[in-house]
Amino acid sequence: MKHGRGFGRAFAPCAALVFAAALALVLGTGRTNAHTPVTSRFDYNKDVFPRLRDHCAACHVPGGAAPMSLVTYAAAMPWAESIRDELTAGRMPPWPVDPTSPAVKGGDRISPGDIDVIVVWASGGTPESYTDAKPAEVSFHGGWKLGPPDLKIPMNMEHTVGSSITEEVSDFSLSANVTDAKWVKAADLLPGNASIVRDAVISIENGPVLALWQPGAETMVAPSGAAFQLPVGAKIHLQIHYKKHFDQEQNSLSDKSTVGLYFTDPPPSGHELQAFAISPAANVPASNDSLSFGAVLPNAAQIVALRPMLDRAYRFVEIDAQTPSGATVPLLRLHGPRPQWFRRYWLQKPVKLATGSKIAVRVTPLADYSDEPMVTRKFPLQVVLDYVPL
Amino acid sequence: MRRVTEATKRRTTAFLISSAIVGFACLAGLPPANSNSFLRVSLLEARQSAGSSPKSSVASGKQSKPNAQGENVANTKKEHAFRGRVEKVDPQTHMLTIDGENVPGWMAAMTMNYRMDNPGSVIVKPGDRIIATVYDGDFTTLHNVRVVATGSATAVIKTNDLPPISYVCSSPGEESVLEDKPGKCPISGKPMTPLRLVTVYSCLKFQSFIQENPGVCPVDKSELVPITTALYFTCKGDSGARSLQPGTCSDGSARVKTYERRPHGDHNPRHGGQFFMADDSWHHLEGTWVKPNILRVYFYNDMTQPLAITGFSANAVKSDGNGNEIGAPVPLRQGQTNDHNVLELAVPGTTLPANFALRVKFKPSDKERVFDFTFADYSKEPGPAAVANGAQASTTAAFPAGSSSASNQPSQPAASGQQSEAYVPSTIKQEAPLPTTIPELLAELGKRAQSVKTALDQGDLTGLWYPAIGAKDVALALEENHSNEVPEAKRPQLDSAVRRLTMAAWQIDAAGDLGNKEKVLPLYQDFAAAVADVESVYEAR
Repeated sequence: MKHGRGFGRAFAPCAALVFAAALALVLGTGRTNAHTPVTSRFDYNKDVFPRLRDHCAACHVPGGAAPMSLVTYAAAMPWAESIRDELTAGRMPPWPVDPTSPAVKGGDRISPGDIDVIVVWASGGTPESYTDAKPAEVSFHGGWKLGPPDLKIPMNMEHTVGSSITEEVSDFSLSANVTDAKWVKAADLLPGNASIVRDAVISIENGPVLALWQPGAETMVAPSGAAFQLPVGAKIHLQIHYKKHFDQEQNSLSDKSTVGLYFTDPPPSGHELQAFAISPAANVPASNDSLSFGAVLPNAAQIVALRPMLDRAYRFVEIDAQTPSGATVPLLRLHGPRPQWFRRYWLQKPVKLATGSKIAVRVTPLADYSDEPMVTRKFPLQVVLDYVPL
Repeated sequence: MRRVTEATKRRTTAFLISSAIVGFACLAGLPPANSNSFLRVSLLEARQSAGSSPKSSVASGKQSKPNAQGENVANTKKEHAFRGRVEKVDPQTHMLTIDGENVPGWMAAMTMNYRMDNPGSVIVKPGDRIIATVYDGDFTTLHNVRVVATGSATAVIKTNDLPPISYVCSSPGEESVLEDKPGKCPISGKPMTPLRLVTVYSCLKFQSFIQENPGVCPVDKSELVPITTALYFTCKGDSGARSLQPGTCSDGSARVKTYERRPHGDHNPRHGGQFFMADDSWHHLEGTWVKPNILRVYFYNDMTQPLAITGFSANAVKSDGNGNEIGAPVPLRQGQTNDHNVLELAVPGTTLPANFALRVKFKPSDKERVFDFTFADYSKEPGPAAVANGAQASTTAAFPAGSSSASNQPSQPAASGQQSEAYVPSTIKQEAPLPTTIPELLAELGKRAQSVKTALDQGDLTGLWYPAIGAKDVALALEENHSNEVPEAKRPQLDSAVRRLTMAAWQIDAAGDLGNKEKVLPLYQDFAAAVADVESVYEAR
C-alpha cells in the first residue's frame, strides 16, 4: 500500500527519554503491517544505530532511564513504529528549541535529515544490515556529568516505591550542612536507581530553584557572574518524580539519590540570581486558540535563563521582551514542548533589559491532542525568568 | 468528532510482540542483546539452493533414541526427514543453527537452533548441508545427523537477489504481523511462517491472474494493478512442494516461481472509489459516488474479497471541505446491485464536490468508526486500459498457488526460462533522481505540494502520502545541497521549515491511511506553512 522512502543525511544529540517508555507503550507496536515489505534503503547497523546512539542512548540504553534500549537491533526493532510516532510528532528527542530561537546552551536537536533516515527505516521494514557494519556496544554511563561535585548531599534513607504504585512525586528535605555561605553555580542529581527517577526539582528550601533535572540532559553551569546563594543552615528541597518502567510495575523498588552542588566565587555584583514568574490570568480555559500573556519586569535585569512550566503540550511557545523603546527582543522559541520535559533554558547570550521592559508570552496549542499520552507531571502554565539584577 | 485510533490495539500488541521476541530469544537460548545474527536471516545473505542435496541420501532408518523424558521417541512418534544448511555451530553447547527446509507436517522452512542427539559422532561446520531425522512433538533435536556433499548449484537464480525472507502469522487476528526473523506468533504462539514478499501485478477483478510486470489484464483488458504477494518456488505436479529458494524438483525440473496473495496485499479500489482500511486491520471499505447521486460503499475483508454486510450498520452525513458535518446522519441501506457487499444511500441535490463523513459499525456492539470521503467527481468503474502499443499480458503471467482457478489456466508461466535470470529485488524502488539546481528544486517542491493539495481537495486521503513524502525529499535535498547559498541569518528559518515539513509529511502519510480528514487537515496546514517558509527563504536570497 505504501512504501517508506527518502534520502538520508546527518545528525545531532538527544536527551533523556524516560517518558518515551510510557508513550511508546501507549502508542507503539512492535510489528509492521503485512503490506509493508522491506523498502528502506537505510539499515539499522550503518544508518540508524549511529543516530539512535547519538540522540537517544543517554537514556535508551540497558540500565538507563528509559524502559527500552534502542542501541541494538533486537532491542530497537520492535519499537520501530513507536520511534516513528515519537519522532514525527516531535515528542522525541525531547529538545523543543526551534532553530529560529535565540541560542540556548546544551541540548541536542535532531536534524530533519536524521529524522527522515530513522523514519524511513521504521516505515520500510526495519532491515538490520546491508553491509558489514556492526554496532559498537553502548553502555549506560551513570555519574556526575560535571565531575565530582563540591558538596554531595545524599537522601537520608532509601525511598521505596511500593509494588502497588507505578508513579509518585516525593519530597525530601536534606540538610546541606554548610558552615559558611556558599555560592552555587550548578546542581545535579545522581539517581540511586536510574530506572525510576524520571525528573527532579532541586531547590533551596524557601529559596530559589537550583536545577530542573531530567535524565540524560546536560548539567548546566550558570554564566559567570550569576549564582545562587546557599546560606548557612540552609536545607535542600529535593522533589523527585518516580515512575516505573512498564515491566517494573509489580515490583517494589527503592532509590537513594544524591544531590551534588558545584560552588563558585561570589558574583561581583553581590546579587544572587533572582526569578520573575509570569502567569496568565487565572481561570483561563484551555482552548485551541493561541493564548498571550505577559508582565512588566520590576527592574532592569540581565536575563540568563527561562523556565517555561507547561500545563499541556503546545505547538509553539514564543517568549519575547518588548523594550520601553518599542523594540522586540526574542528570548525563546519552542516548537512542540511537552510539560513533562520541563527544564531551564540557559541563554548562550544573556539579554539585558531596561526597567519597564515587558515580557510577552504566546502559547499556541497543538491542533490535535488525541495522540498525546496522558501526562501526570505538569504544572500551572507559567514562565519563569532567571535574571541578575542590574 | 473523534476518529478511530489504533492506540488500544497497539498497546496490546506492543506487549505481545515484545513478549514474543523475548520469549523466542529465551527458547532459542539467545543472549539478551546483540544476538541478532544468531537466528536472524540476513537480508542479503547468499544461500545455497535448498534443492541441491541429493534426495536419495535422506535418512530412512528409524532411530531408537530416548528423549529428555526417557521415552523411546522412535517407537511412538512419527519420523520425518529433515534437510538444512548449517549457519552456526556453538562449540560450547554443540547447538546448531540450521536454515531448515520445509518439513511437511512437522515444521515450515525456518532458521532455528537445534541440538544433536549424537554431538560427538559427526563434525559439522557452517555452510555444510545436513540431513537428519526428526520426530513429531520434538522440535529441538536432530537425530542421526549426517553431512551431505554440497550439491552443484543447478539453480542459477542469485538467491541474494531474492526479496528478503519475512515471517508472518496466518491465524485470525494475527495476519498483519510481519517480522524479519523467526519467532512465535504473538497471540496463537504458533511458529511464524517464512515467506518472501514481492510486488507484482494483477487483474483488478480477476485475482488469479498475476504477472511480474505492469500490463493489461487478458480477461477484461483493464490495466493491471500492483499487489504485494508471497513468492514461492514450486514443482509441477506436486502442490505440496513449496520452497523459498529456487532449485530443482525431484524429477529434475526447475522449480517454478509462484505468487500467493497476502492479506493487505491489494488495496486497489474495485469500483473507482476511495479505499480505506479500518483500524481493526481486517475490514476494508470502498466509497463510491455514482449517478444519480448515490453514496455506495463496498465492504471487503483483508484479502480484498467481498464481505457480506450482515450485522453492519452505517450512516452518512454531509460535510464541508473542512470535515465539519452538515445536517443529520442518514442510515445507509442494502445496495440495489448484484453485489452483496454494498450499503448505499441516495443523496439527491448534492453538488460536486460531495463530502461525507461515513460512520460504520461492523456489528451492533462494535465501536463506531468514521471515514471521510470527498468526491470531486462521480466514481468511474475501471474499464479497458488505453493501450497505445497493443501491449499484451506478459508471457510470464503466473497464477497463485492454491487458487481455484489456477488449475484451469492453460499454462504455468515463469518456469525454467525465468530460472536463469537474475532476480531484481522489487521491494526497494529506485527513486527518480531529483533535479539539482535551486530553481528546479523549488519548482519540484511547488509541484509536489500542489499535488498534496489537489489530493486533499479531492478527498484522496490514501493518495496524500506520495506527493507529501516526495515534497519532503525535495526539501531535504534543498537543505542538504543548497543551504550554503542561503544567507547565514536565514539558515535557522530554513532548518526549522524543513524540520516541520519532514515531520508533517510523515504524519500526513500515517493519518491519510486511516481516512481521517480531521487529523489530516491541521497536518496539511503545517505542511503548507513549512513549504511556504522554505520557498520564502530561497526567494529572499
